[in-house]
Amino acid sequence: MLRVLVGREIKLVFRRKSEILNPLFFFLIVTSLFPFGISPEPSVLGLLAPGVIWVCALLALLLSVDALYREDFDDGSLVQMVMSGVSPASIVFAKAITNWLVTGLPLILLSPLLGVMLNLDNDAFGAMVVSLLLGTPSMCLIAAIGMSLTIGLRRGGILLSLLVLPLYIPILIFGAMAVNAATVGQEFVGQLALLGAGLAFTASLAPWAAGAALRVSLSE
Amino acid sequence: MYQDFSIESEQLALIRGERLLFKQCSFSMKNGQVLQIRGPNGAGKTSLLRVLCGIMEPDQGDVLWCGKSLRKMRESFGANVLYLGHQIGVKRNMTVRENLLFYSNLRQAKPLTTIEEAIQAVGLTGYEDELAAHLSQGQTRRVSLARLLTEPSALWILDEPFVALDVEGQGWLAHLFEQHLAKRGSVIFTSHQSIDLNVKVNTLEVSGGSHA
Repeated sequence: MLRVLVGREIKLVFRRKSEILNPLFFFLIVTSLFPFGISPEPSVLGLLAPGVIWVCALLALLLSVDALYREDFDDGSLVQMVMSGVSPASIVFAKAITNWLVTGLPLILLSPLLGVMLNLDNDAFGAMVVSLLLGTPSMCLIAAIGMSLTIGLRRGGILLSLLVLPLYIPILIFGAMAVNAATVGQEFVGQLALLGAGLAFTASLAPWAAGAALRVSLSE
Repeated sequence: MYQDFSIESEQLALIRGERLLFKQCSFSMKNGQVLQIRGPNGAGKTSLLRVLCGIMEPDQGDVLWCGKSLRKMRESFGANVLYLGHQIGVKRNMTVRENLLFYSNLRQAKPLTTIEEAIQAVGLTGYEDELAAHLSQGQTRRVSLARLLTEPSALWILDEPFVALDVEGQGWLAHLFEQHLAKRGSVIFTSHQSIDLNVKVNTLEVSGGSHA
């Protein structure tokens, strides 16, 4: 069931390529603007790099989520899927998986390049990739809750950010902390463990919460 | 031959904003029956169908599926009911074949007709691999109607199924209704026009529109 759903999502995303590329371009452009705006000094950039990369990845993910849900809501596909006996929880779970595969994963693959550009400390690349690997799936799942709650509203964009950003902040803090700790040569396993715990928590609960929210949104 | 089922509504009422769409709406239905829901625009026909499908919760009353509340019977209901609403859920960025294949895969039921046969039956031969975005409105409607063939369900709940179809298509759909009834299936549909069927069509009037 999940395979059928994810297969469909991926097929649809690849037919609207701009929607995958937009968040990635956003990530690249915003990160590469920082050296111009602040200072091209390598030591300054190296100091800022962990936070900049994490914040930009977070915003790029938030940018990517709307497209996955909006069209399916507008053309009645979500109702049809629910009426076909699929639980709303599997629908949103499939969407979160797709969201991560087509946006989260490419962001992580791009991040080392941006790390080099921002003069990130050599020892911190591993921490950055692992922290993003643990943090981005949680963010996709949390976004699924926010999207399911706000999809019925015509202008849900701002509300989505208000709902979702407070939940992103702990992930951002621990993610950037892990990378920062690695740059100064400290232990960073603790922060990664917290990110992992957060992922276990969201992966087990968010689909159900989002599924229930989706059912409510569809009933309006 | 479909399994036995029954659907009943008890004193349904639905309020949208300040308007009472319908109240005390009761009916019951079994295998092999047709129910046409009639009423002026804005009377709440579509909302009534959405309530019957369990998508919307009624403000009063309950829908019973096989004697039990719909909320507890979602699985059995989903497996036996096909609902085609106002928005028909045909993806513009998927081909005709992919659209039909996706929904029939979701249901995991054995289709009576293959997807190719269904596409032929709705008169879309040659359009199998065409994106739905390139089809006309009537053709898109036909894609969704092809699901009636590929996803065998005892009860069809159809919102304005005759809209956007040409005369030939309307005749074909009426004929499909008759075949479905002969197999002990049932149809609930909304329509403004009277449909010629060689079986008795029960009607339910939704007046609605009064202030709550």
